[in-house]
Amino acid sequence: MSAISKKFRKLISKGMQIPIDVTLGLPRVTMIGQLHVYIENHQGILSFTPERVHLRLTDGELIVVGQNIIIKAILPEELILEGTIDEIKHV
Amino acid sequence: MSKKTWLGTVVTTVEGEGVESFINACTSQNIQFMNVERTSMTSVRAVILIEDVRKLRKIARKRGLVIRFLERDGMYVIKERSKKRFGFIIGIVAFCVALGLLSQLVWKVDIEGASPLVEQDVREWAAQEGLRIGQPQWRLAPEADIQQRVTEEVPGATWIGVEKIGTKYQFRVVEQHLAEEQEQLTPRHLIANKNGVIQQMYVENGRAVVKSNDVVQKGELLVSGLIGREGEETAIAAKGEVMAETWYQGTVEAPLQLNGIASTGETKNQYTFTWNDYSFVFWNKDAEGEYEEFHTETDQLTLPLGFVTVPLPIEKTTYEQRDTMTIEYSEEEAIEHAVSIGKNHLEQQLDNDAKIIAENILQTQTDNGKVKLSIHYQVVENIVQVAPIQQGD
Repeated sequence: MSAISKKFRKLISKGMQIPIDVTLGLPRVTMIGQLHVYIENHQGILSFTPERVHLRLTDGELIVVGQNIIIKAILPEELILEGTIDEIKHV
Repeated sequence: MSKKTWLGTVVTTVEGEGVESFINACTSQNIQFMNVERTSMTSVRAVILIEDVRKLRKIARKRGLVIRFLERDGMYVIKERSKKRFGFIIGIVAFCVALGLLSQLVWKVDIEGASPLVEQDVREWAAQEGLRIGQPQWRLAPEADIQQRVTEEVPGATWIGVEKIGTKYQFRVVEQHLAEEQEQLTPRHLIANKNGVIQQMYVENGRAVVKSNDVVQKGELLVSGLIGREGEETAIAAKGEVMAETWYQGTVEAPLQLNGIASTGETKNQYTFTWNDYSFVFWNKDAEGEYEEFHTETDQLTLPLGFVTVPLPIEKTTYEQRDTMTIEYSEEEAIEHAVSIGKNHLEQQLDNDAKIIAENILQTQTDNGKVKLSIHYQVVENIVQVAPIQQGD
């Protein structure tokens, strides 16, 4: 995303009071206890093991660490992880 | 979240290098994965929709991955299974159709509140209109129309209500009660048909000749049909009621001992298969030797099927055990019995409006195991008898 486009989107978001994740395509991560992680606006899986899931985001990467992690569901822009989540890191 | 998972899912294993990028590629093509589990370093197990199988295969072939499909679930499986159990499905559908169809037939025509004659008329009318058992309801006119027409067309009923209750048509009949026709009466007197003491008189037409407490003899004039001034009387039909006390005497006998045959309540059923002249007992063959005294009854078994009754080639014979019984009465009981017998006898002979006001036992005699009573009854009854007046007398 170019710098001008980014600025423009931020402006719109502020002016029209639209959440920033919608306009900028930023990820929204929701956690339900240690059990579930909902990740919206992901850009694909980089690696996947029961202990560690590595995801690509629009800017950067997301690392989820835990035990017995499975991908409960995966859609083009949405992803649900299930298991015992210990750590979420934005890199 | 997940779309159309109920249509059918399949458990899939994917093996090879770059499983993650394979999943990404699939996701970007709108293939949905569920329950993705890592099974080893190079393999993944996931659940996908059956409709995505072809797309998935294509992508996997391009990337040189091995995919295997395991258990399937959902509508797809039911569809496949139902192909195998085609007859079963047909049965279910046929049942539903049959139930639906049968519930649209007429199963009962009930007629309420009609005398047998009118009921017969209504039933015939209904049958002729197609309103009989086994007819489809959709061919019939709506109830309101039927109601109007049946009321108009069936004589003898003032109003007939028609109501449809499920598969039953209910007719409620209100019958006409035509006023009784006035009898054409010829001039007549009323005379006594018995000896008695007048208790009460009610004269509708005519001139009363006697009054209360008069003693009248049989044949005596009670109400005269000749009215008007003496010498120029006109003859009319006298009409009225004269209640008088009359007397009856009778003898009644009652036995002190009563012998009778009665069922003990024990029964045995025997079933016989019969076809033309051939018959064969297949149930309770020894029933005949079972009781010393018995009474038998044979019925043909039938199978009622609603609108027809099919006779079965099976006969049911019921053996009822019987026993001779002796009932002994004491003298008082026998007298009581005799009195009630006598009263019954008399009541049967008398008119409906007659009343027995007193009964006196005149004499009691016991011999030969019998009680013999002589009873005197006092009765109040209508003693009127019609006597025509000869015209031109």
